[in-house]
Amino acid sequence: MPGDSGGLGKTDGAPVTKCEAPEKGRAPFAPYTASGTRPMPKTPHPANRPGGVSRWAALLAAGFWLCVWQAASLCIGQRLLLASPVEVCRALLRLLPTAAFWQRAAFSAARIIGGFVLALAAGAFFGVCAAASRWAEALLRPPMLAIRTVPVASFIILALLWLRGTGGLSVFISFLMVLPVVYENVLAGIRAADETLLEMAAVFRVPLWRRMRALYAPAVLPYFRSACAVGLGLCWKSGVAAEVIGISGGSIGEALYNAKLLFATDELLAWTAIIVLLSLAFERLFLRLLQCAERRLMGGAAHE
Amino acid sequence: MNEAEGRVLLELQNVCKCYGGAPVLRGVSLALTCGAPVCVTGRSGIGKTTLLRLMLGLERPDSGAVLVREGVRFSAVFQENRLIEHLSAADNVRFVCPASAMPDGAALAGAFAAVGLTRQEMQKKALALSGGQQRRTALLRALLAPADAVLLDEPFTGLDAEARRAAAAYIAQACAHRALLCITHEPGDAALLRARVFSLEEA
Repeated sequence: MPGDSGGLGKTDGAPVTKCEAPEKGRAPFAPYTASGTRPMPKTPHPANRPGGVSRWAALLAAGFWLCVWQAASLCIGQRLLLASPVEVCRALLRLLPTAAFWQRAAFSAARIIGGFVLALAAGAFFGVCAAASRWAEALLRPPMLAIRTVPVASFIILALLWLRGTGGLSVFISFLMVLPVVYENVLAGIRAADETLLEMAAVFRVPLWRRMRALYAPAVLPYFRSACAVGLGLCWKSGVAAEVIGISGGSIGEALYNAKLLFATDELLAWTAIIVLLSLAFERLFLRLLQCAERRLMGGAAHE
Repeated sequence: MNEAEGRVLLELQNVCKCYGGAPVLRGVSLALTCGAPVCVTGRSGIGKTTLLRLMLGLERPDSGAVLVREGVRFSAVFQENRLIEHLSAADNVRFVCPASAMPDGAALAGAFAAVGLTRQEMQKKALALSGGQQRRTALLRALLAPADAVLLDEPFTGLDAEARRAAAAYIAQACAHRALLCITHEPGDAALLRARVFSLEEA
């Protein structure tokens, strides 16, 4: 209606959106606020927190505790109860050149990391669903709470019954332990997104993909990074525990179980050290990959 | 004359709004028309920002109606700058522009220059800009977005007299054929924008 200055209240045939006072008993109109959003304090990533120790201090501390361990094993004087660090190193050197060692490491790593990656995908998906809908959040709360509180041993026994012979025991257990961690962190991250910026983006009708990159991603990433760091530790602990209880053939867990049967404490500790090293290596690798992805995601967030 | 000129895009009819039982707006009626800028004035706390939020659909009136012509696109300068801190000033402007209306580098630099910002300042992260520079970036974002109605809540906050004049001239030029509502405390701003004054105290 060019040139029309008669006002929108008059019937000029032009389509008009009417926003009136809400009816009694109906929820007040709040179009651009995500349901249930509440401002949450942004927590810095653990690596950026003040009070971190230097590399030299960490090496010195590790050396000190190795000396304590050596002294303790010398005092006890029984290899069966506590093997010394030197004996553990010897056991490690014995294991490292064997093909069986690498096969076991690859077997366990593939399954445990597989479970972790599945948990990342599922946890992120459910976290987004819960942030988008109160119903979804209400629906997801009981299973997430149950997974978090039920002892891992119960799940392992159940999984043994359900997945007998499928080789998926450690995948399932590491998936289950990491899932609630990722879910809760993604949900908290989405809710930490700046509401005033979301409101601005809604007024300007910024496309969802651009909002996700420029507004949600920076809010979620610190939470997601923390979830990954915690989850990687958890998945190795629970995954290996599942392998020990289920005596999964060809796994690190089975090697631990055999070492226990043979009272080979040095070998038991050597495998433990390998689990710790694998866990740390995967954590480093994964956080580095995440950092690269972050840079790519944030670059050009404004106009793609 | 632009064909949209004189067209009413938004109308408030006897709008009332209360917060916690205390009335903020009572029976306010106002129409926003293309090419007829309006300056809303009134003392602090009288409901100027509430009026803007009602127009943007961010609040609902307790009584009365807010009528918006179908398909009308809004842009706004809010009371706060609401810039994305990790993006540059230029990227903050690009953020709200659809791919089809994305200004190129030269156009963007020209717009920044019109409000007194250099190419270097345009590339700075929003967090690194001064209060006045941030305000002008927020203003440019509203003006360069492809909007039919531009609503500005005290757009000159933190600007000196010269920057204020330059910004007002750019607003008047950019909104010549659009609907413009500007909330201000300064009586002189209406003259700068060649706008009619709508006093909330009188309304």
